[in-house]
Amino acid sequence: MSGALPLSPRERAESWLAALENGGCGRQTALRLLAMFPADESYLLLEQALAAGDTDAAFQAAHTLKGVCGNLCLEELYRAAAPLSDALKRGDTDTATRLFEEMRPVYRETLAALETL
Amino acid sequence: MTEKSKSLCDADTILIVEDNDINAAVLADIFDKDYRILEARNGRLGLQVLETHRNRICAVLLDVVMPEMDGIEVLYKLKEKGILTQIPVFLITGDPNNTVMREAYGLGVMDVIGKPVIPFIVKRRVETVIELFRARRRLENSVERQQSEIVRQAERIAELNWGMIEALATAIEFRSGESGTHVRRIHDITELILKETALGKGYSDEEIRQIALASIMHDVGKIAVGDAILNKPGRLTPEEFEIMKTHTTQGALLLEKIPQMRKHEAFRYAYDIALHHHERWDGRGYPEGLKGSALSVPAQVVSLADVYDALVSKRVYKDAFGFDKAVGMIQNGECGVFNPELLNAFAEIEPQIRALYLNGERAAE
Repeated sequence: MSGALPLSPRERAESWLAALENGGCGRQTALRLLAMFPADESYLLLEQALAAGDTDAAFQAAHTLKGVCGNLCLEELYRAAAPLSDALKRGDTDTATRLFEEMRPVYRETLAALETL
Repeated sequence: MTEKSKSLCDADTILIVEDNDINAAVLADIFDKDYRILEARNGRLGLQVLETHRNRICAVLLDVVMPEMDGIEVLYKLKEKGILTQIPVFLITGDPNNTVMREAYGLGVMDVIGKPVIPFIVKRRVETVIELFRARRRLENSVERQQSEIVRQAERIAELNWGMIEALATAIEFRSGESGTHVRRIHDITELILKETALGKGYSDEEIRQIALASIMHDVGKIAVGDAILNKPGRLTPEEFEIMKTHTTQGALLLEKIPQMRKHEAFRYAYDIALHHHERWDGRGYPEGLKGSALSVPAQVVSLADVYDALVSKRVYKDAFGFDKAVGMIQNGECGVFNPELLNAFAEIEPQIRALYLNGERAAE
């Protein structure tokens, strides 16, 4: 997560909430949906599938992760997951593995930001 | 409204087929205030839920990438079962490229919605279609109701028609001093022979119904025969008999002159029966002296029914014969020659015909 004036974790989390509300979600619903994210297994499944060299499973997991991030307006993680999913769809595991390494810190920071809510 | 269509009108449940909890929750939250929600975590389970709750479901939100059975595979199954035209299915895809969209629309999906979903847009798109399907269903129901009303009215008109034809025939019959039951008997005997014996082979139920109706009018021509001849207690002179015989040609003429009658499905039978119900198999009947298979089956059947009823009933010129005596006279050719096949059919069915009379007497007592 970069920017000239980087947002604090709390500000980041508030921006996701605002985006969800903007889409027509109530604030309580938005909070409840965001609270579900840490338990979502798709990041973990992606990591395991890449390690095991299972491209199909990796694609499924990456695709799901991308979808979840998109639906939850987790913008930064979505932008990291989308090209990863595309790469796996092409069967390009090298690129996918590289992109996954780049995604690790974004995932950690996303979880940290969600904790502030 | 039928039970089935009623329940479809009341369908208030949205089925979400999506493998991920969060994605499913996002979709469920859009609709759970206004609809019941059912969820399935893969395509195979989604199909099962759809089978079980088909009448309750007003829309399906279907993810594409899923384990076990993916969304496209589900669409193929739904198309096979003809469900896609009954229930609107929305494909939710994170990858809305042309190939997926074309395949999905080709299969009959209602709409393709791209992920990430934007709740208020999804809500609007889905609800518009649900409302459209409900309106269509309501329209179908009202058309269905109107159709059955039209059928009921047509039945009432047909009944009225029948009643008027019967009234006319009965009125003519009363003039010749016969009981009002003669035309009824001819109708029932004709129907029985055609329905229950080999002679009626080749005639549909509807045709038999029309022939039986037509048989009621076999004697309408008697309206043109004077009372003195019609009700003469003794034997007719040859001149009088010639006049009596004209009731066949007069009957056909009369039927032909009524435009409504000419258009009636039973007309060709009525005309043929009125004209030919005194013909005989050997060509010695009247008015045309037709012979053998030149005589139609309906005309043959009515002529035999007419003879039988005349024999077992009391008339101004004769007493009633017993049933056995009447059967003997017909089989011996004492009332003219009938088609052997018709006589066989008659012998076979006569006990049932006799029962009509006996039951009728009991009812009258």
